[in-house]
Amino acid sequence: MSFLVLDRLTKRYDAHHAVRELSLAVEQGEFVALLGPSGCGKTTTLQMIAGFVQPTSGRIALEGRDLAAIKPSQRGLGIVFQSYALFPHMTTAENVAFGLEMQGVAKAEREQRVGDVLAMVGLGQLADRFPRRMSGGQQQRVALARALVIRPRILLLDEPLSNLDAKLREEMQIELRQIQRTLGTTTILVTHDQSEAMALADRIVVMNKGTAEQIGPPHETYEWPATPFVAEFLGKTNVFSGSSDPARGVVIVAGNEWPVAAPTAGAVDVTVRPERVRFASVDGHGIAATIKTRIFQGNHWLYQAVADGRTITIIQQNAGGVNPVEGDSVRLDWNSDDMRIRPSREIVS
Amino acid sequence: MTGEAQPASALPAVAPERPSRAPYYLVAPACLLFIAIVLVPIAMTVLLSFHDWGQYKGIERVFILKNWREVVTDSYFLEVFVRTFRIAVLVTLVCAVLGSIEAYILNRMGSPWRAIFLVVVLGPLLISVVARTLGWALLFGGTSGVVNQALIGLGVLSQPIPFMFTETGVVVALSHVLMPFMVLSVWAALQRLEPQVESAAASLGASQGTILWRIVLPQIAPGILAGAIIVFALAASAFATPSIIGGRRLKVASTLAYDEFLNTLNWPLGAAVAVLLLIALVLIIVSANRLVEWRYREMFR
Repeated sequence: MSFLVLDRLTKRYDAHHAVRELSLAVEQGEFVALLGPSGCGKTTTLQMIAGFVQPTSGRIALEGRDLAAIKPSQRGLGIVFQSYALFPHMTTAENVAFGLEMQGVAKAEREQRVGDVLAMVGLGQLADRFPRRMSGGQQQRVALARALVIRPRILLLDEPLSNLDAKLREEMQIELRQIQRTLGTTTILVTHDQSEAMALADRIVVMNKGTAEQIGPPHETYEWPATPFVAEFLGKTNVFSGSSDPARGVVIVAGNEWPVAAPTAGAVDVTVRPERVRFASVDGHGIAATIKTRIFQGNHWLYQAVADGRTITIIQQNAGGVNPVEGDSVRLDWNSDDMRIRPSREIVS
Repeated sequence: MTGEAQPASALPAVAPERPSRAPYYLVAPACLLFIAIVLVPIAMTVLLSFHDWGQYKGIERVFILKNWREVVTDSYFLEVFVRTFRIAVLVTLVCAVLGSIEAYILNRMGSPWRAIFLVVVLGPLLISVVARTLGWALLFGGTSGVVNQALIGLGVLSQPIPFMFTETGVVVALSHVLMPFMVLSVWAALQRLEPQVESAAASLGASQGTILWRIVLPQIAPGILAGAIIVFALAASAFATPSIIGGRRLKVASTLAYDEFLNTLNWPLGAAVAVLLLIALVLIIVSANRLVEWRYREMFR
C-alpha cells in the first residue's frame, strides 16, 4: 500500500470536470510534481488533498486511512501557498510557532524547533521581523519554515516559486530540493513550469483537462512522451507528418527514409526534439530547409528553419564549430532512435 | 533638448529650484470655504463662551470666566457630560461587537445575497436620522407604541417597556443609527484580508474559533478601532436621536447646549458647553488615533 493514494478522484463543478478520474500512488519520501497548464485541475487536486475542496467522487487515502471525513485542520499536512499566506500581524518566529502552538507543543521545545527550522531556511537573523518588511524570497522561506516545522506527513507546494524572479527561483529550487532530500518529507508540488517540475520532482504527473496524461520520472516523460500533449508541453518539439512502410522497415518524412524496426503501418506523426536535429551535408540524407532565424543563447544556438512552409526548431550546442547563418540552405537529419512515431492524427493547437 | 552634448547639466538646473504655485491656487477655494464655515464660527463660539449674559441685559461683550466656572463646577453639567460619554462608550461597544459580526457574515455571503444585504445594511443611511429615530419611538413610545400595544394586548406585559426617556432607549436607537459606519469600516478591513491566510491557519491545525480569534480579529482590529472612533465621535455629538428619545428629561451635552441657546437664550453658557464638548472629543479622538497607530505601526507600513 502506497503512502498516499488518490483513487479515481473526480471534482465536478456543474457540467465542468475540474479533475476527472485521477489515480495516483505516492510513496513515502517521494517528490511528485503535478504539472500542467492553468485550468488543468492540478490546483484543485492539491486542494482536495489538503481538504479545502470536497471531491465529487473518488477516494484519498493517507497511510491507508480515508481522508474524506477528516477536516483540513486534522490532516497534519504542511502547505506553502502561492501567495505565501503569512500572518501579517505576527513576526517570523510567531508565524512559524503557530502550528506548534496548535499542536500544544511546550514553549521550550517550540522555541527550539522554531530556531532550528529558521536556521535551516537561512532566516535565523530575521525571527523578529514582520512579513510586510521582508522580500518575496524571505517571505517564501518563512512560509516553507512554517509548513515544515510541524513535521507534516505531506508537504504540499502550490506554485511556491512563481512569484520570485528567475535567479532567485533557481536558487530556491536547489534549496528546496536539498531540504526535501534531508528531511525526507513526502512532497507534492503544483506547477505550470516544466523546467521546475523536472528539476525538483522524482516523478511528474502531466495533467491536461482534469486527467493525468502521463505519470513518470522527468527524463522518461521527456524522452518518451505518452501523448502529443505531453511532447509539446514538456519542452520544445518538432512534429512532422510522414508515412511508414512496414514491409521495408522504414518511415518516410519529406522524401527521406529512416530505418525503423517494426513501424506502425500508414500515415504517422513523427516528433523529434530540437536538440536531436543536426545539420547534415547539403547533398546528403535529410530534409532540405532554409535558415530563417538564428538566436545566440550563450551555451547554444537556437535556429528556426523553414522546409515546405513548415517551421522547424533546432538547438545546436555552442561547441565552437562553424554554424550556418540566416539564409543558408541546409539539410536536417537525425538518428532513427530520436524519432517518436505515432499513428497520424490531426494536431489540435 | 537641442541634441547638443550637455544634457546632464541642463536638466536639473531648472526643475527643482522653482516649485509651481498651481497647487496653492487649486486648494485656495476649498481652504477659504473651510475657514469661512468651520474655523470662523468655531472661533466666534469660543469668544462667545467668555461673554456675560443676564435675564434682562442680554449678551454683554465682555471677557469673563463666569460661564466656564459654572460649567466646570456645577454638578449638573458634570452629570450631563458623564451621561454623554457613557452613552457614547456603550453605543461604540454595541456597534463594535454587532457591527464586526455583521460585517464578517456579510463578507462570507455568496454572490447575490452579499450585494442585497449590503444594501439592507447601508440603506438606512439614505433615510433621515429623525425618521429612523421616530421609527423607534413609534414602536416603543409608551402605551401607544406598536410593540408595547401588541405585547400588552397579548398579555405578555402589563406595563410598556421603558424605552422613551431612558438611557437604554438612547443607546439602542443611536447604535442602530450609527451601525452602518462600523460595518463599512470593518468591511473595508475584511476586504484587505487574504482568503488563503485562513486556509493556512486551518492547515496548521487551528479550529474555526481559533482562526477567528487569533488570525481574523487581530487583522481587522484596526478597522474596528477606526470604526469605533467614528461611531464614538458621532454618538457623543449626536443631537437628533437623544433629543427625540431622551427629550428634556434625559439631556446630553448637545441637547443641553441647544436648550441653553434656544430656550434659556443664554448663548454664552451654551457656547461654553459646546466648546467643552468639542475639546473633550478632539482630545479623546486624537489620543485614540495615536494609540491605534502606535499599536498597529507594523501593519500600517
